[in-house]
Amino acid sequence: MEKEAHGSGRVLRITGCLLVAAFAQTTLKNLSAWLGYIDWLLLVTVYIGLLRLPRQALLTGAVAGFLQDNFSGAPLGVSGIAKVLVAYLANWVSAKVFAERLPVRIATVAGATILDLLTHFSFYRMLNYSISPLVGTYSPARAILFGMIINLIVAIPFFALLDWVFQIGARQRLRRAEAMRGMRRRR
Amino acid sequence: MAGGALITSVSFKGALKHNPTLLLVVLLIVHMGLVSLNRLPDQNGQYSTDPSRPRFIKVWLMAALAPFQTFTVSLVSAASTTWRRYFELLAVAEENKQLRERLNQLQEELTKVKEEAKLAEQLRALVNWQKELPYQVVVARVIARDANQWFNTVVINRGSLSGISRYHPVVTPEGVVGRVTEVAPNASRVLLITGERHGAGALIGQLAGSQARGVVKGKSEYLCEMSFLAGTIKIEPGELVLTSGQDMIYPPGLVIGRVKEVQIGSATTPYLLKVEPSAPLARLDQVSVLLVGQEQIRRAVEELEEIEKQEKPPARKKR
Repeated sequence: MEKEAHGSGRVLRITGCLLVAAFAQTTLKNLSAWLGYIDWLLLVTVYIGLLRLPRQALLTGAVAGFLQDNFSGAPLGVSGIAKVLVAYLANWVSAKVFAERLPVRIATVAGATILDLLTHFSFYRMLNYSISPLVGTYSPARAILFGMIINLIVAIPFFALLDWVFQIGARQRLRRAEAMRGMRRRR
Repeated sequence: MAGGALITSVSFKGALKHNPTLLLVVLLIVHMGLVSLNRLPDQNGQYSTDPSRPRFIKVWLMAALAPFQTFTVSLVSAASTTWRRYFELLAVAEENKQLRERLNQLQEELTKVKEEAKLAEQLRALVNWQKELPYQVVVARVIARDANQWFNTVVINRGSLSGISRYHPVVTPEGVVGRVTEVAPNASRVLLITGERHGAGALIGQLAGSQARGVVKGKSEYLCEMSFLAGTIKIEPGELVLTSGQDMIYPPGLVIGRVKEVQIGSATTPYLLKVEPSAPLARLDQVSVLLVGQEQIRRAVEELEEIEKQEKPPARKKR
């Protein structure tokens, strides 16, 4: 029988996912420069945001941003702001629609990536930091588009893996879908 | 009074627990505070734009992660070798069906020997090159890249315990890689020369007597830009760009790269050159950190100036 992770078990899993994501983000670039542009911390933040756990989602975003800035040559705080906003967006989406559907997940990742990159870009420009564009892209717009596409491609299998980690199977999805339908009827 | 404060604190905690918007606002304020930490004035009272401040948290997190990253790099390297060998074996099998087993065995052995020979050759080149350098050198391995898409840095597995400190130049036998920006006991962060925050004094052509002097700055993941060059000197694509030592970070004479594109200047407009770095920045593995101080660089620059005065080499052609 499938059993969804709860309480401290879930917090431990979120912590583990964040550490693995931070690790992947700094290490995979050694294999290929393109792999370095997958924002694993963003994907974990979006996933937790879509679980309809507002407090945990926002704290996950804050920790993800803190890790990203500390494992980078970037100024402290900017990634935290970006990831907290992303978590809020994902949580907002999950409160409005049935978030386990693939199209909803894809749309949320796309929106979250744009929000994250735009926040980074705006803050770095505002604070007058010099930044380097992505591989093969030489304008912020192209960089944002490229980041979005690569995150979307990776998000589909990665979210399936996270479903397995958080033990969210078909039974839980069905239960959530029914709950959402019930909520809508009551509204 | 105290009771009132306690009730307020408890109700605020409760509100944080149940009101995500309030929690969002609190977290945003906390992060804004962190952002402002980056902008604290330095010892001279100047407001900093150095993103690596404050360093203490970053340095200790980097130190904690470095052993895991070193382990993973070794693991990934072994896995990629196995993966490559697998494909080589497949290609051989298709071409020689009848002699597959025999040929596979030979191919595997050959690959191993070739890799060992290649590694030996690389190490020999590195050792020979280090012998020629008049500075103390620490060989390090790249164990991580930047976690942020907007910055060009790498992490190496040597730190202050090996004598490395901030601003030490990092090089490969092919050319300059960058300079150290943060140092932990067992790891350091290196800002690559292609990073937009990076700048180095440079010259084109011969070390002594070159009139083509300027500043090389990072432009993108692959290119640097050289500016502040007098527009009256003739410069061709393919010419060698070397460090001049004027920045007091890089000793003079290190290869930065070659001129890729020339945006012609004039008597009043300076040149703008695209420079392709010589160091293989996309596939960095082994690098060397030069433990060189400002005094040594100053002496080297002064020696060069002496040579220039004595020899007066032929001036570059003017346009």
